[in-house]
Amino acid sequence: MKKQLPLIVVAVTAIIVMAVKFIDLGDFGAATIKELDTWSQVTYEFAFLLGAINLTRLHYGNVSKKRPKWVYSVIALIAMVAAAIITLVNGVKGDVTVFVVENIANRIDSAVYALLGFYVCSAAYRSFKLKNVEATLLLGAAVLLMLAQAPIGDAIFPGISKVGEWILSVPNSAGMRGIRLGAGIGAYAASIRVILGLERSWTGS
Amino acid sequence: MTLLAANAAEGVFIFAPGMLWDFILIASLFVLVFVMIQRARVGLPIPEIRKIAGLEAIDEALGRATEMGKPVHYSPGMSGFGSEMYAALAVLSYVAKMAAQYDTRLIVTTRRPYIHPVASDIVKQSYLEAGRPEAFNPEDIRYVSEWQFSYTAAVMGIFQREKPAANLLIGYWMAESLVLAEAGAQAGCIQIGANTNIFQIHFFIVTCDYTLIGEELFAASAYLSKDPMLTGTVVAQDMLKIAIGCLVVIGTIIATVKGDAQSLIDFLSL
Repeated sequence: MKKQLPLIVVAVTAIIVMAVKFIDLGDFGAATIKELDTWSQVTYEFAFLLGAINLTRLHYGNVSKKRPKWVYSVIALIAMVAAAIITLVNGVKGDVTVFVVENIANRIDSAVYALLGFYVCSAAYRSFKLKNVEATLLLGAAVLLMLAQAPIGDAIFPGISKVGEWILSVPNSAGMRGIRLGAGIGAYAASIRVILGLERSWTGS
Repeated sequence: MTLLAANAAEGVFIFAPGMLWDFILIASLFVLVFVMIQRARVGLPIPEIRKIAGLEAIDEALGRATEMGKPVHYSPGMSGFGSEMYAALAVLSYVAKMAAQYDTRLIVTTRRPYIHPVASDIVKQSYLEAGRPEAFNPEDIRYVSEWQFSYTAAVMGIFQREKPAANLLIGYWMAESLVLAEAGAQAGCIQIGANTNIFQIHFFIVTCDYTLIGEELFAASAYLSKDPMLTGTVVAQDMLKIAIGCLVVIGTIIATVKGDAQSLIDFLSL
């Protein structure tokens, strides 16, 4: 039953959602979706507690067993407890909570995101090495498109921006749409496998 | 044309506006899947799935980690429960079984708190099925953070501290894809990436050793399990893809001959 119940819940919910989506049920349809959203939100909140417990257990274990670099676990635990206390005391939209989110969490988030700029360079350096035919094609297309996007490109090779535009709007778009189409139908088929109970590895079986 | 436009706005028969062809598409897929399942049940031949290098390489990646005595990192991506996550969890089940058989440590990181208990259960069950329940370590199945780049930073930390030999990024990825894959490459991991996000796939292609592009991710469970019924569903999806490809060709011909394919677009918008 432990394995069967999730399959039944998923199949029944999927049928309800599909019926509401495909058939014009008016206000009843909207109310059904809203109700399911609420259930989903409640489940999510419970799961969030499980996540916090796992995080605490892992980092407490690191600290108590003095595993390598356990100091980071202390920082993670202090940050988690402090954020929880601040939010509980000050409220989700309180001044202190907003200050912590905007001036600490968001800044750190942006800093990690900014690493992307450096990683683009290192990834480009490795992938643009002339090691095989595919890499050569990639290098050729990249150089052409970089020149096409930069104002200096047209100055060196007049008309290269038009070639770049064509590459982006025709072969590139065709490839992207092909992948999107395949992935879309693949997603439908994967969902049907789950609804029919053919795909049940997510239940642990 | 006016009649078609009016129907598209009001909906046809009992269907919501613009949902008739969506329904036909899903219903066709259901029928094709059902036919393929029946064929598999009675033992009729099901076409084989072509070789997918990224999935073949999973054994190689785990073998490398085993030889080096280092762990394997697996992440099922950034999405919540959806088709990508189900596919990623199916691959996780396979990877966990192989890791248990090879006696290789498997570290799983999740971004969504509700994915964590499911991933944990899958790995635990896989270790049990492999006959090594004692090797399962719940501390290796880690919920990290809901925040996109906090998750990214934490996983980069794992790469630096625990030096996995293999990094499997299987699922739906967004802007963190390059940061994670590049950090994995710099840590010396053999990397297998899978993504359905067309704006991020190229990052995996240039940084990972093997990449599953788009629909290959959804074929993974059938490919790895070699179950004829699951394989049949992949064949069904390919048949539908051929039908849609034919529709694209018809649309192209109409657009070329008439100057636009608005009539076909209106018809498919019903």
